[in-house]
Amino acid sequence: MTLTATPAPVEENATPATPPRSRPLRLLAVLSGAGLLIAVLAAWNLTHGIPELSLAGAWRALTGDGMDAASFVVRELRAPRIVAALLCGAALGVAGVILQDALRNPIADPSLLGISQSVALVDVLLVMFPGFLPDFAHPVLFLLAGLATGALLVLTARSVRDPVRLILIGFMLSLFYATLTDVITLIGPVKAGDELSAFFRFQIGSLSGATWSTLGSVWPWLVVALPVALLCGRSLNLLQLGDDVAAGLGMNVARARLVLLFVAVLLVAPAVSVSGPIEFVALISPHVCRALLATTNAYVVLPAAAAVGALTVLAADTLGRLLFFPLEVPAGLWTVVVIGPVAVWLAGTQLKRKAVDE
Amino acid sequence: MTTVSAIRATPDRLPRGRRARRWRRYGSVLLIGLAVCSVVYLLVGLDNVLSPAAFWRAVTHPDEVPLVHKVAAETRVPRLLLCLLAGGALAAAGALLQAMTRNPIAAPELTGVTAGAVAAAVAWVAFAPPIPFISNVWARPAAATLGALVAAGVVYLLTRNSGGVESTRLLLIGILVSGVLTSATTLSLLFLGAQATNLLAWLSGSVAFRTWTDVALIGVYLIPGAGLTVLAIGRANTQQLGDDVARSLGQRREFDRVLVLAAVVVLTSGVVSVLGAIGFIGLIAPHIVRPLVGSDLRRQVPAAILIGAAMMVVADLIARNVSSRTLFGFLGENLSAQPLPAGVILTLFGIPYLAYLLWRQK
Amino acid sequence: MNTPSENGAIENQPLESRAIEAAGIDVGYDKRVVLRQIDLAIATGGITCLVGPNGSGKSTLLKACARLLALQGGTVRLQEDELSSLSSREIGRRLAVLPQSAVTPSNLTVQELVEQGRYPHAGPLRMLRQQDHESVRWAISATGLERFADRDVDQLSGGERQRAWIALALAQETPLLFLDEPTTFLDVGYQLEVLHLVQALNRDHAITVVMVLHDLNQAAAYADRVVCLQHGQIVADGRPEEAITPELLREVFRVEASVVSDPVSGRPVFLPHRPVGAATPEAAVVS
Repeated sequence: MTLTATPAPVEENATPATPPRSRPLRLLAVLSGAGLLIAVLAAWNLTHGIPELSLAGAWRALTGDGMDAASFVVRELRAPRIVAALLCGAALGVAGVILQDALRNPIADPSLLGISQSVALVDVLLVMFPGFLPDFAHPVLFLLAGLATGALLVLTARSVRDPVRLILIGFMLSLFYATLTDVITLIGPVKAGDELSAFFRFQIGSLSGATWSTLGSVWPWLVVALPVALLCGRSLNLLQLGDDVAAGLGMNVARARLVLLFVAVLLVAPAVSVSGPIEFVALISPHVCRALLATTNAYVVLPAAAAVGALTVLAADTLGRLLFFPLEVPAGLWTVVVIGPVAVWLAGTQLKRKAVDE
Repeated sequence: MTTVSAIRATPDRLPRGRRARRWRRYGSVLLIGLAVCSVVYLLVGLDNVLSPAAFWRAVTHPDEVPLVHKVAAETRVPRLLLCLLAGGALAAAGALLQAMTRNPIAAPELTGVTAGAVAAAVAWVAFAPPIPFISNVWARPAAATLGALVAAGVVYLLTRNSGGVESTRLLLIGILVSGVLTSATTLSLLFLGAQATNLLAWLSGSVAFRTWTDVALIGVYLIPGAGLTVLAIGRANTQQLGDDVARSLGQRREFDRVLVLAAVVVLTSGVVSVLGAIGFIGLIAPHIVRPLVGSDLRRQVPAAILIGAAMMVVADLIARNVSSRTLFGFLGENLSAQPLPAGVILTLFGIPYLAYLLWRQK
Repeated sequence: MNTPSENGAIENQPLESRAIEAAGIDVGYDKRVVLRQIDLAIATGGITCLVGPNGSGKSTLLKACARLLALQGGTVRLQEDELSSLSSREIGRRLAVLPQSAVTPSNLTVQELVEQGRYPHAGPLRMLRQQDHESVRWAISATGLERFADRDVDQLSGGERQRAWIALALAQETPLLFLDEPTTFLDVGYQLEVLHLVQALNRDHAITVVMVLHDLNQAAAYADRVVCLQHGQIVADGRPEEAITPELLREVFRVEASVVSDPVSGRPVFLPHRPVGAATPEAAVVS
């Protein structure tokens, strides 16, 4: 790096003197706490709605091979939704950690950067105009859309070094995609009744459309990407120290950042194609985990963020489905209304701290 | 000891500055451009282009002309007035806000003002009990103003307490607050259920199907708005030099800022409560005129009003005459021919411009 | 050569010759107290420089005296009136402040900038009247900016830009002018240009000047009175040759230095040798 780039690296060298701590016990506590809450929520989700079931009844419907209505509802509607919520949430949480550390931006979030919306745009095109491509090619297309947006962001980040401005440019991208999605739902050949649900699915994020068959085409991607992502800890920890330090320690920063972004997109694209752009989960989960674990060590934050993300999306979906039953509030709405104010506060304080540091 | 005025050189006025001369020139050019846009707007319609004479006849003798001509005259005149008023008001609000926050990328739609107005108006329709004697048509703008004021206040407090209002921070927090408020709007719509359809047409930022009632509504709103703008111009002009300078020139710590903010809120919520969220005029219009007439608001605000009105007229002209089939025909045959709202047209052009501004900013 | 003002006898002077007077003021940000029990009276007519190390409270004192910061205790009197009893516009008509490193918006000409200085005098609609145009013209000519009146401020050189800002303060037509580090970020040539302008304004237009300066030698060269602050307390006050002493430099600025007399102006000049406590590189000869 040239001398003219920025005077900041000097200070970056000075600040993180101690390596981030690994906290196995706290991680265990967070993971088991999240697991417990997930189990409670899943049980509530499986048993409530129409029809109401006892816990034992729900279990029988789930594991048995009964053909009655209750079994169908539990097996084909409620169960895939829970699985989808957990998978999408875990993917978003992990992607949030990767984006925040790789871009060194405390408020990075795939939905604030436009990645989610680009996938949703492709999704809406594929749904509105079916038959362009065979089904198995769809996930590839989602990936390409996410990667194109990601590449655009990486290019922008080269000339735009201020994290806030990067987020804002990403936000403009997401707004642009969202407007196009709007236009397409507006003019597209949709039947009147579908309009609102399509709007929810593609603009706000909702799990109401999740079935085993929609999950079928995306779960292999997630199952591959999640373990890969959990192994990114080392490069993320290095990047936290700043580009110059990471390069000094022998890392090819540009390449590492691209690879990490690819992994993040690999997580986000399939998740969004199932749930739509659920906002703020990827933003908030890493922060919650860092606070709970009292460390920024990516090795432990990554699995914790997966658990917290999964819990958040499941909670949002369960509340959305059952709180005002029979009125269903999409999960993406809850995350924005409830987590949004926290995100605003976070943007205020985190960036302030950064401004003070520099 | 001699006083300052006694030893002053012979009193004389400075010659009119370059900017003032330019403003005389560009001001008339802008005015003529706006007039041309307006005339084209009135005459041109999909499959229904009138000659000026025919249009005049349709206005003066509505019963003696073909029905299509009569309809054209009846619908286009209020719609044009709405465009002019809305575009001008939003542009003025944007110019004032950019000066007050010393932030070239501030705009009502980016600082929560617009989203607050929409959220409050929808929440009013969804949850408020009916008030006797007051039509919802007139109560809605009041609710919108209140919402805009609260949202603007929240964003202002959040950014003010964090030291100097760093320009991009304000934008980020404004956008996040807007996002939360938009979701709150959606939540209200959800609870409204079937009634939401009426509101959706209003929310889209469209000028279509508006009548003289809407013109009256927005007009009533913009009278205090215009008054506040006149009061705000001098104050915002000083505020763009920085807080300390403004204060040392005799501004009160909060009052003068609140006055400028009130002008912005009234202008914006007046437009938004009638037409729905229309974005990007407030952002872009001041940017277009700044290189021409400079940052002095005594010239910038009027110039921005003219440009903003012209932008709105052109956007709606496109929205009215270019069917979505022409724009997105490549997507397939079975598209609905529904016209796009003017707000969408503005957004599609405005977002790349804002991204460019952000990218270029030092 | 300037006649130094009689600082020592300030208590005996009649009230109207005091431009501004702070009595026992406490000032702070949030809970942090920056100034504690400061007394400072500025007589009409001279140039007073506030100096001190970083964080000593000199800018805070200036801002408090201009009511840009709220007082936590004590009073400030502007001539015979208590500052807190005056309206903001009244203060703006009697006291002009140029804050540190003010940023000009782009696309603003010098004339447009200076016209803003008429704000405290203007009517409710802030329209300019004949006398306002006269003041603007006077301010622009007093700062020698006639040629630049129509240029954009952000296209001027650093010194010209600072002169434009001073012109804005002049357009307020106040007998009292506060400047907060008017020379920061300027090359030395521009620094002297600005300071010469300030001196000329003080002498020719009888404007009382109080300014915060970073450079002690510049303060010594241009001030009639130097007030030195440390940790929110006034530690030295007087004519430059009285205030700037080797002891002060050692105690307050932590430098070993000798103070000599400028052969041209007779003003004190200090030559820094090394930080306090550092080893002597060679014997310092004090003339």
